[in-house]
Amino acid sequence: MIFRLKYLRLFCCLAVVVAAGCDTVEPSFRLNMVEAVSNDTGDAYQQEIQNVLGGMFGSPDAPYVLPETGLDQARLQVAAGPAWSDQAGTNHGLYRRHCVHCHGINGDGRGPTARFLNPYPRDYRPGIYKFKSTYNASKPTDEDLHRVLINGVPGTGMPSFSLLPGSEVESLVEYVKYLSIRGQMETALIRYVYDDLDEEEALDEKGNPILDPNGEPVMLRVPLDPENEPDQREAILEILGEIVDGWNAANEGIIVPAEDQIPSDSRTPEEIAASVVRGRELFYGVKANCVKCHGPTGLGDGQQDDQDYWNKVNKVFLESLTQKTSPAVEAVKQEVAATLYPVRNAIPRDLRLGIYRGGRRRIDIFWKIYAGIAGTPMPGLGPASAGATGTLTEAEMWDIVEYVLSLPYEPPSQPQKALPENLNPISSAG
Amino acid sequence: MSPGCRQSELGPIAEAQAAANVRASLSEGAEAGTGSSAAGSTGTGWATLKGRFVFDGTPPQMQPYNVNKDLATCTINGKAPLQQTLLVDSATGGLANVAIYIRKASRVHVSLESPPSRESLFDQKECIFLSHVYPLTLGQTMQIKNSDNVGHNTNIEGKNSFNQTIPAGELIDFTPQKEEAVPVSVRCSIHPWMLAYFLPRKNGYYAISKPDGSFEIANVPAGEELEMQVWHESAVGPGHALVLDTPDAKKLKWSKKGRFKIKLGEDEVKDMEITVPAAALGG
Amino acid sequence: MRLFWSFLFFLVPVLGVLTFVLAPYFNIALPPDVSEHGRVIDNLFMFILYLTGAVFVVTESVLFYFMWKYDAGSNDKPVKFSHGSHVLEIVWTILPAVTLLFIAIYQMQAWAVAKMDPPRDAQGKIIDPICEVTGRQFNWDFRYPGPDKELHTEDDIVRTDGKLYLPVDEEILLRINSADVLHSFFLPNLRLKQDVVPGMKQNMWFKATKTGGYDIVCAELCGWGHYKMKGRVFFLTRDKFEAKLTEMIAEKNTMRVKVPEEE
Repeated sequence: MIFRLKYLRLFCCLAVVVAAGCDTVEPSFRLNMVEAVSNDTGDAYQQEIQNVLGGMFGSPDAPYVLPETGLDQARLQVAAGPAWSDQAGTNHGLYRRHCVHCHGINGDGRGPTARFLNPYPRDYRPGIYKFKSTYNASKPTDEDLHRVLINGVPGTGMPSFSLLPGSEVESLVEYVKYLSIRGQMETALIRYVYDDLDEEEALDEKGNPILDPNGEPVMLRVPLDPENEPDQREAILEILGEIVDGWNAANEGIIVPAEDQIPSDSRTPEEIAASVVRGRELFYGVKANCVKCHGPTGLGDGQQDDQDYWNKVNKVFLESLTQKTSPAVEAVKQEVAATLYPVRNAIPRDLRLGIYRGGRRRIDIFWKIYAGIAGTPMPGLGPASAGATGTLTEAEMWDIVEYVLSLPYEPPSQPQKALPENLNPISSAG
Repeated sequence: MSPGCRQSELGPIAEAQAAANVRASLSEGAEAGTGSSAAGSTGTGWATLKGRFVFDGTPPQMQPYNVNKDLATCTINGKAPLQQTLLVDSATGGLANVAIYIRKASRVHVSLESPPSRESLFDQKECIFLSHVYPLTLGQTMQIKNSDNVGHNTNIEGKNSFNQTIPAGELIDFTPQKEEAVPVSVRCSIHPWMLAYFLPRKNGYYAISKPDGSFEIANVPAGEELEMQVWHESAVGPGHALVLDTPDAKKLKWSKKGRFKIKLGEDEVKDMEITVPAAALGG
Repeated sequence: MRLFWSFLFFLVPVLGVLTFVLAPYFNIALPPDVSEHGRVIDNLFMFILYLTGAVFVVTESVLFYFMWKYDAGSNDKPVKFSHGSHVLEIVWTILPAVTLLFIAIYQMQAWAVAKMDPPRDAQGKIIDPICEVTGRQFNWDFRYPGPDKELHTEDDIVRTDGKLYLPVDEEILLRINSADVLHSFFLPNLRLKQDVVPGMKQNMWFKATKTGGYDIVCAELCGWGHYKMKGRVFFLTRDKFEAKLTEMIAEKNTMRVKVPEEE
């Protein structure tokens, strides 16, 4: 009898432990707290914003898009939800199967494995993408996102997903755009609520303001309620339209290299060597200024004090913690700050490694030089938009491409870090 | 917050029924709203709003910028230039670089419909942006100039994002398309200490206070309520809105978002002296 | 009780044998072998399997018999201890030792061909690697030497999409290294696997006998993404392989973009 009771207890303990570890709570999108707290969004507004976003975009298990977005609902359905396969072998829940552990359920780049990665996984919510074929301020095209999934991002933790069937890759591209549009809408709603929804005076039946004991009119919060406020509904749809227009205009932002400036395919080795020499001159020159950040030997040690957009947002938020505000606000800010990952500086690329994150075709490097890299300190040397003024001609940019491609195979005889006098900060007063 | 398997659980989640209701109402599409959402009627005529921002307190000592590149160009006699986050005129106590602008103007005076000059210069010299707070009317072209002998890249954040290398001694044109609600930062990546603020607006109803704290916005719509936004880069309000709680500010019903409303009579010249206590700027 | 426990233990050899017999029908047998040397390895595997399987069945059957015959419920005679049998001890030490020695010597050649004797050209020099495989967390990157046939020169073709193209029916030498932590380049259909230690460059060689696409998996725990560190190796005829290299060089040199048409 004692024998059996002992094992029965052990079994019960195990059952409880196992059951506690099993998570059956449906995941939900959580609010961009840095934006919400920076814009003073109160709890009631936060709830209303989540409701509006839930209505407009659904949940991680049940995505939804208004027809205005132009996204394919069927593809989103395949990408969303828990990961499972049906009888025919079709995979569902692709985002959760492949992406969520780094990119997070909100697409915020804060999944469980994200904090162990350098660089951090991409946060889709600002809608800024580094590796694309379009002007700096434009969105990436579908082809750009597709290429990132197929080639991965070498030099980072992003692997290649080329072994997935094409339809699955398309679904994931669609879902990433969905998360971006949702993230941009979230920020826009938070700012709309701050900017345009003010308090209004409480009025009695006769239309006179109700006064509090001090003689001040009682102020009521204007709720975010598109259901009952046609003005708000119009504004929300207008904001969505602007966001979607940005994505739809991506193809118009593609940088097409001018045919007459593209180097010929049949250059002799001497011509190529001459191009490398011209590229080196430009690299070290005062027009392109590449050395200033990439360092005198291209090791990426020229200027390491700046941050990319995603880290800068966190840095600004953490700096705002030092400002004196009310204890309640400070407590909330501390809570949010505790969830952020350490701020990292944007280190310019070490060009001698031969690792090109955004693609290693000549045109990929050309695009980086032409438009810079959106969201990072890397500036462009070409026109900022069609018809604007550029800093270098395209032929000069192809020369720099040639030089950059030769750098990993040109070991410097004396590789030197940036000269010490350029690194000593002068910040002592007097 | 332990990073583990559970993500951050701050903030609310969507309520299913409320979300469904919102979805139904948005799917109907936008009806024409109840006319314009402008609060109040429009008046006639034009007025002038001017005044001075005066700093009340001991202005903090400005620290030098952290100059770590191109020392020959960016330092003067080996000394880095001082930061410009809170500039107070020692003689008059005037607070410089306060941005004050009308949030939504119902009508625009003819003189401001087409700005005085299509081009507007934005220069940088000795590794400092010469206009620390730089406003622009949409339609104008920003001429970004580099008057140094080293290259700079001008990195403008926000809705009109721009990041291009400006070679030494040259000028690059940039025409922003979108209005910003508050000034956005302009930086250089090669010289990361460089900082300025950029405010593109749809109309010319803005002013940046001069070194003596004075500002003037001419030809503002008279006879109607104007909502003014006030901003300073060191202000502790949300988005650096300048939030004041002095008795004068309370009379103006100065909001927690750095806004106040004012109604001017036709041809009135309103002169306001606005005192800014040190606490409002983080003092 | 004798019935229950003894037959429970008898199930072990029965199910064990059944698993191997029925394995091909449930797709859990050895994957198809497409390499020249794989046959030798598979034969070795089967030989050891049969040998150990036979011994296993015999010992388990003896175990069953003893459990059945000497079950406590049906035996009340006291146990008789013997002082062991010297002869039996010698027999069952020598026999397995000899078998082990036989297997060790028998497999030496198989091991040497796979791991110690790289293919050499007519002059006796080890052939050049046709590709350098770099494992990184969590992707396989491939670097082909390009037209100058030398690795780490400017005309190399670097691919990061996890697809390795190789010619069929030719001696292939791959150089394998790691960019960060321990990985293991495992080609199940070629019965070959090679761990890489960061800082060490390893060689792996084989000759594939069939065209087609086969798996590459990582076989050394390298982090949280180890399970999804996969690739695909494609064996092509020589001319198709050359054509593929040309295609990859053209893609590397892409300088034009096609703008999608307005819909």
